[in-house]
Amino acid sequence: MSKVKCLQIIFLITMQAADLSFHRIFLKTMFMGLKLGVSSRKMSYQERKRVIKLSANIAMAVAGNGMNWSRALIIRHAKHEKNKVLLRSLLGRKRYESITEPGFAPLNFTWQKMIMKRRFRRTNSILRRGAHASNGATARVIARSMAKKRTRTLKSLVPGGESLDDLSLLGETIDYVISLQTQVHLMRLLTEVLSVSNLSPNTKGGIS
Amino acid sequence: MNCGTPSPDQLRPALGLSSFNWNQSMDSLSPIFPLPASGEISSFMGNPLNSMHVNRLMQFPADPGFAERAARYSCFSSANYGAFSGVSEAAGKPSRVSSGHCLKAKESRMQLEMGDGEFGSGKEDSSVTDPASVLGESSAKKRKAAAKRKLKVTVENDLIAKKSRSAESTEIEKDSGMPKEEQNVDEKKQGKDDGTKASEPFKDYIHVRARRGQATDSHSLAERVRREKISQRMKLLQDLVPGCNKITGKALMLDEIINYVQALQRQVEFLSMKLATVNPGLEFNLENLFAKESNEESPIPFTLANGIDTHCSIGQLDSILHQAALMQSSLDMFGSSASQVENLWDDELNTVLQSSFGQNQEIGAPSQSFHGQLSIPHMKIEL
Repeated sequence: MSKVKCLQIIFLITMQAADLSFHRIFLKTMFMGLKLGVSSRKMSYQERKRVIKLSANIAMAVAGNGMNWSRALIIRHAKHEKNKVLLRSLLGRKRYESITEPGFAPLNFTWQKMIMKRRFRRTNSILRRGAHASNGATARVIARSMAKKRTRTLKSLVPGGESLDDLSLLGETIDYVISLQTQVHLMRLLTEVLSVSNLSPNTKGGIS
Repeated sequence: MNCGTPSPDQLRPALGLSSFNWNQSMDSLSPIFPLPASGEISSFMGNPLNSMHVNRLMQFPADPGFAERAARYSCFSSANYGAFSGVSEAAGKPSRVSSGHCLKAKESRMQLEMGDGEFGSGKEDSSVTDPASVLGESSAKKRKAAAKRKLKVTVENDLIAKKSRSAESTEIEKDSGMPKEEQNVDEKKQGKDDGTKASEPFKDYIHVRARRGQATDSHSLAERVRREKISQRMKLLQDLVPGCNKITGKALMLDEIINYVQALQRQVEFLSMKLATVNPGLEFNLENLFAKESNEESPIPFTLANGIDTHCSIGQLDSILHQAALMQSSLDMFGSSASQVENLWDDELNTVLQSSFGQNQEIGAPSQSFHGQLSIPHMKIEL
C-alpha cells in the first residue's frame, strides 16, 4: 500500500511542481476532444485515429496560445468540414469565431505574392547562371540557394510559416519543435498508461 | 519564479539531447540523464546575480554555456540593447550580459509572463520538488516546454515590437578621432556602459557599435544585427535538435531541423494510431473517473494543491496510475528486465539526488524503497 501511495505522491508532485500550464491545457483539451469526438460504438479505426490526431493537434495549438503557428494550425484544421463541429464545441463559439475570421495579415498570404516571388526567384537564378561569377562568389551563391530551398521546405512544414520572414520563422520553429516534443511525450505517456490499465482484469471503472 | 525560467532551458542541453535517439520512435521513454555536477552551478554563480536568483538557481543545476545564452537572449528582450554587439563576442563572460539591471528587467517581464506558471512555486516546495526531478524527463520537459515557450514569447514580442523601429533607426556610434582603437576599447566597455545606462529609461532603438575593421554604414550594421539574431536562434535550435552539436552552417542545420520536425510529426501520427488501437470503443468518461476518485482513500496529506485548477486530469491520471501500480505489483515477476530498469532508475535517482539536493537526506530515503514502482512508464506492454 505504501509503495503505491509513494508512487502516487511522486506522480502528483511531478505534476504539480513543474510548470505545467502547457501540459494541463494540453491534457484537458485532448480529453475533451476525445470525449466529444469518440462515440463508442460505430467508429471505424480510421475515424477514431482521425479524431485522436485532431484532438492532439488542437490541444497542442490551444496550449501553445499566442504563437503564430497555433492560430495557423487551428485554421488549417477548421477548413475541413468534418472538423468544424468538434472544433466549435471544443474551442467555444467565441474563440472559434475570432480565430477563423480572415483578417490577420501575416496569415493572409495571397497567391499573387507567391507567384511573384517564384518569378523573381527564377529570374534571379537565370541571371546568375548567365552572369560571370568568380569561384568564391559562386560558392556563396550556391550556399545561399541551398539555404533558401531549405527555408522554403521549413516554411511548408511549420504551420503558418509561409508568410514569415527568416528570423521569425526560426523563432516559430523553436516554439513549434518544443510543443511537438511535449505533444509526443504526453501522447506517449497516455498510450502507456492506458495500455497498462487496459490489461488490468478488474478495471475499476477508470476506463470503461 | 523568474530565475527558474532560464534553468529549464539549461536543463535541456544538460540532459544530453545528443544521446536522445528519436529515431527509435516507440521505445520506452528515454531514461533520465544525470544532471551535471553542482560545480557548474558555482561557476555560473560567479556572475552578479542577486541573491534571489542564486537561491532559485541552486535548485537546478545549469549548463553555463546555455545559461549565458539564455540569459543573453532574455536580456535581449529588455530594452538594454546596447550590449548586443558586444554580447555576441562575450562567449563565456556572462557577467557582461547579466548586469543587474538587465536581470531585473528580465525578472519583471518573466513575472508577468509566468503568472500562471507556478513554476517552483514557493520556497517550501523546494524540498518537494526533489523527487520531481527524479522523474526527470517528464518534469524537465514540462519545465522546458512552458518556460522556454514563455521565454520565447517574451523575446518574440519584444523583438517583433522593436524590429520595425530598429531597422529604421539603428544608431551607429561612430567614433571621432581614433576610430579603430576606440572601437576596440568601446567593445570592452560595453558591460560598464550597460551599468551606466541602467538608470536611463528604455530606448526603443538598438545601439550598435561598429566592430573594428568593419564597415560602419547603417545597412551593413543592420545586416550584421540581423545575422547575429539569426545565428542566435540557430544556436538555440541546435540545442533543441538532438545530434546537431557538430553541424556548422545554416543549410545543413536547416536540413537537420527539417528532418527532426518531420520525424516528430510522423511520431505524432504513429502515436495517434497506437492510441486508436489501444482502446477500441473507449469512452473517455470523465464522470466515471470522478466517481472513481471519490472512492479512493483520502489522498495525499501534502499541501500540494496550490494552483491545481485542472484537478480532473490529475485525478484521472492518478486513478489510472493507481490501477497501473496494482498491475505493476503483479507484473514484477518479469525479473531481469524489471531489475535492469530498477538499477537504471536507482543510479539516476542517486545521481540526481546527490547532485542537486545533497542535504535533503529524508527525500533520498523513501526513494529507495519504491524504485521498483517507478518503472511503470518504462513498462512497454505490447498489445
